[in-house]
Order: sequence, then structure tokens, then C-alpha cells
Amino acid sequence: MAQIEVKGLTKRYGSVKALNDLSFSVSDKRAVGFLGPNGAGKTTTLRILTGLANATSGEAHVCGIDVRRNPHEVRRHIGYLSQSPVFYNWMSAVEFMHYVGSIFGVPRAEVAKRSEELLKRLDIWEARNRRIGGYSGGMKQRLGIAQALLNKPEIVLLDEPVSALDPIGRHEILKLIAELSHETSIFMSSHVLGDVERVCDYVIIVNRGQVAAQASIKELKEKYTTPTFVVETDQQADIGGLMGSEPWFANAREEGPNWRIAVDDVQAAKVRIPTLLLNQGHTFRRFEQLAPNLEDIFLKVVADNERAAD
Amino acid sequence: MNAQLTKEFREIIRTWKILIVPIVFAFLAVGQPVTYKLMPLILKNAGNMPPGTVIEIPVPSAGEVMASVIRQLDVLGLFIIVMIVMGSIAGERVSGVAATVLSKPLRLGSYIVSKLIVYGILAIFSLFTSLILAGYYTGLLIGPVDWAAILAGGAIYAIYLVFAVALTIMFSTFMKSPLAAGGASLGVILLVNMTAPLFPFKNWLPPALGGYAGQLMAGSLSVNFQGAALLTLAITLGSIALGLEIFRRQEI
Repeated sequence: MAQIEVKGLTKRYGSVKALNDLSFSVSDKRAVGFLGPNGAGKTTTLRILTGLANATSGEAHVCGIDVRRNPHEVRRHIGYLSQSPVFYNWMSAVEFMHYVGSIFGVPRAEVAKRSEELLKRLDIWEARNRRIGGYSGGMKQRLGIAQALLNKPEIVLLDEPVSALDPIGRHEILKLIAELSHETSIFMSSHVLGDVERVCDYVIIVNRGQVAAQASIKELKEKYTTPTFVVETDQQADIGGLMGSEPWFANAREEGPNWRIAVDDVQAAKVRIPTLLLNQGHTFRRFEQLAPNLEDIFLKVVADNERAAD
Repeated sequence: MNAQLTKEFREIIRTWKILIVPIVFAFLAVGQPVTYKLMPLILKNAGNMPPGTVIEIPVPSAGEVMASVIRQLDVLGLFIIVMIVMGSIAGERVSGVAATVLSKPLRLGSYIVSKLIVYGILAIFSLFTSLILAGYYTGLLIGPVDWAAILAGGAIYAIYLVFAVALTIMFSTFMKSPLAAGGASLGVILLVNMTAPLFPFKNWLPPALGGYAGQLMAGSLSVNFQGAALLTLAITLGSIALGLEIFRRQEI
């Protein structure tokens, strides 16, 4: 069974189309990155999946339940962390966890046990009895994740979960989310591609309210990445003139002291790039084959999508 | 007890509303018998009176003083209740806490009705605390009071305060800011108050309850208040039902 299934979802805010016939499907036990530039429709999609917003048209099912028809039932199966989680400032973390537990109808003793486990895991156990109003942004984000996990959800929807955190907090939370992905399904929106690459094994890239690409990161890398080498020489080199006629050469661009050379045949390029440069009397400071990264893929997918839309 | 009801009760305790509102009500109420008692002294000591001025103010009865307490609460007390309630939903939506909470399996009916119950109880508690204190001081400073009339008048006026709570909650479900919700609620109450004399059924409208409560306390109630009480209760329930329906269609 697909854990999330979205078909032809459209959302209009006046004349603005936030979602435009969005369709995708997420199957069991996966950490899925939901990527897109600002305004692509990520938060709108998550809000529709939780029943906090209504789609103008289209269908959304979470855990097999129609969100429009039965949002209450959907919410029993999910955990949700909004982009900037807000709580009752007069409550403490423990009180809020008990409040959430009572909404789910979880017995008090079980809530106490689960709260302790989660608050310790998220490193806010020491501050558990302090008023949430005095928490830092990072602590609130951690509490947001803890409360989203209290009901042992089948799927956790995270909207930019590490956006408010410092680098250390970011590292810890991403590590935790990666661990959680072995226990439950994660659907995480972000525009920080490095974060998604660390945690997720599958990505859906949205642009202008539509899916621009969806596949495993491995598949996307195979499909979208052009093998690239970075070369830095001691003397000025005219790479285009030198290699332009080679059959393996795709293109080259200068980036500061480096040249980025995109190629069609990696093996040929590995031999010919150094040979051609050495024959011209150049010596190297750097010669490196770049590992494909999600950022390049993302930029390429979005640029292709923009061109197709225009 | 229901999770949301428990939370609302704890909120009014932890944010001190449970103390602040009754204290403000008490000051407003107790001020009336004290002012009536001290009025001759105040006027006597007023510096701008021409020499030889004689002012005779008939001493009001205890019932009349208690009626003036209701009139006082009908303006400032009502304003305070609206101010306290106006952010109950609109404020939570603006801050984002409503999205955190309503992404859980919490029934919208439970969310709204819990607020009506708790703020209604807060209003009634504040009203009776202030009436009992005002009755005590009136008995002490003016003359013996009719406690049964005070409690009965309080009960009539409580219906009106709960109506104000429900109306404000209803506006709070769809207004974009707490201030707009409070303004709309006060605006409607003011409008009904101002235009009520134009209607043939003016004695049935909610604002009439304040007058009935005061007349009952002053011992001069001559008409039936039951019609207005029933209509106000019906409007209260209607406001909550309408608020719930509007909220169901709203995005959070």
C-alpha cells in the first residue's frame, strides 16, 4: 500500500496556483525528500496531507485514508512537524507531551514512558519542566520532533525540520531522522539538498506546483549527472581550445582558478585531459573527478522544468 | 476529563486569568456601593462649588446600588470578557499553535466547545464573585440586600455574558486577528444595543437581559425575562454551531 498517494492535486490562492496537478506516490518504509525551490508548493502539499489546508481539486490519501473525507483518521496515523513549530508557551515540554498523549488517548503511564524516551533522545530532557516560552528555536524544533513521534506514527511529515538549527543541532537531528527512517516512514521537505542527501534515499523534486522529477537518489544521479572533472593548472590554460575537438568533451567553464570540464566518456577523459595539458607544458595543482551531487541534479531538473514551462 | 477541556482550564489558571478577571470585576462592582456611600462627601469637598450650594442626593436603596453594579459590568465587564476571549482561536491561529494542535486527532467541536465552557465558567465565576462582594459592601455601607434577588439577577446576566463569550468565539474562528474578532464582537453588541429600541421585539433581544437583571435586583422587574433568556441561549448555541461550521471550512 502506498503510504502517501497524491493525484492531480491543485491548490489555488486567488489567481496564484500553488499546486498544479501534482501527483506522486510514496510507498512503505522510505525516507523521502520533498525538494523544491521556495514557493514550489512543498509546505502547501504537507498542509493538505495533514488536513490543515484543503485542495482546490484532486485527491490525497495518507495510509490509504482519503484526507478530504476523513482528516481526523489520517491524523491518527501521522506525526507532523511544521516549519516553525509553535506550542503553548505556558506549558512545559512534559506537559505538552502529556497533552498530545491525551489527544491520542494514550494512557498516562505510557505517555510518561514514551516522553522520557523521546525527550532524552532529543536532548531536551534536562529542560523538560521549564516553560516552553523560554526555549530556544532549536529546543522548540526538537520538541516539535518529539511530539510528532509520540503516537508512534506510521509516517512522519517534516516540513524543513532543521531550518532553525545551528550546525551542531542540524547534524544531530539529521542523524536522528536517519535513524528514525529505519523505524517509520519519513517524508521530509527541504531546500537544503545536502541535508536531504544525508537522510533520504528517494526524492521528489517539485517546481511550480508540479513534480519535476522523482526517483531514488542513485537513479537521479545516473540519469542527470554529467561526469565532471576539475582541473587547476599552474599556468593559464585554454581548455576549450585545447580539448574542444575531442570526442569525449562536452563543455568546460572557468570557475575562479579552476576549470570544470564536463565529459561524455570518463575513461577517455581520465587519460586525455592530463595528456593534453602535459603536452602543452602545463603542470597540475589539482585534477579531480567530481562525485555527482544532488545540488547539481536539483539545479538541472529545475532549469529543465523552467524551460519546459516557458 | 476531555483533553482539550483540561488544557483550557489549566491555561486560565497558569496565565492567571482565573485571578485577574474576577479581581477586575470585583473592583468594578465594589466601586459602586463605595462611590454611592462616599458621593455626598466627595461633593462636599469638591473645590469648585459656589459658596452656599446645597446638593441633596436621595440615598439609593441597596437594590438600586446592585442594579448600578450590573450596569457597570454591562459596559466594562463585558469589554473585559470580550478582550479575554477574542484571542482564544484567532490568536492560536495567528501564532501557529493551532496548526500544531489541530494536526492531531482533536475534534474541532471539542476545540471550540471547550473554549466556550471554560471562558463561560470564567465569566460566570467573575460575575458572581463580584456580585457577592458588591452585595456584601452594599449591605455594609448602604443597607440590607436581597441575596436571592442578587443571585437570580446574576443568573439572568450570566446568560448574557455567556452569549458574549460565544459571539466572540464565533468571530474568532474566522477573523484574521484577535483584535478584529474582539472589535467585531463588540461592534455587534453595540449595534444591537443601539438599534434594539427600534424593534417591536426589543424586550426579547439579548441586551435586554442586563436591564432585567438590574430590575430584579432593584425589586422592580415587571415583565417576563424568560423569552429574552431563551432567545439569548438559542443565539449562543447558534453562534457556536455557526463558528464550528465556519472553522471546519477554514484553513488552519
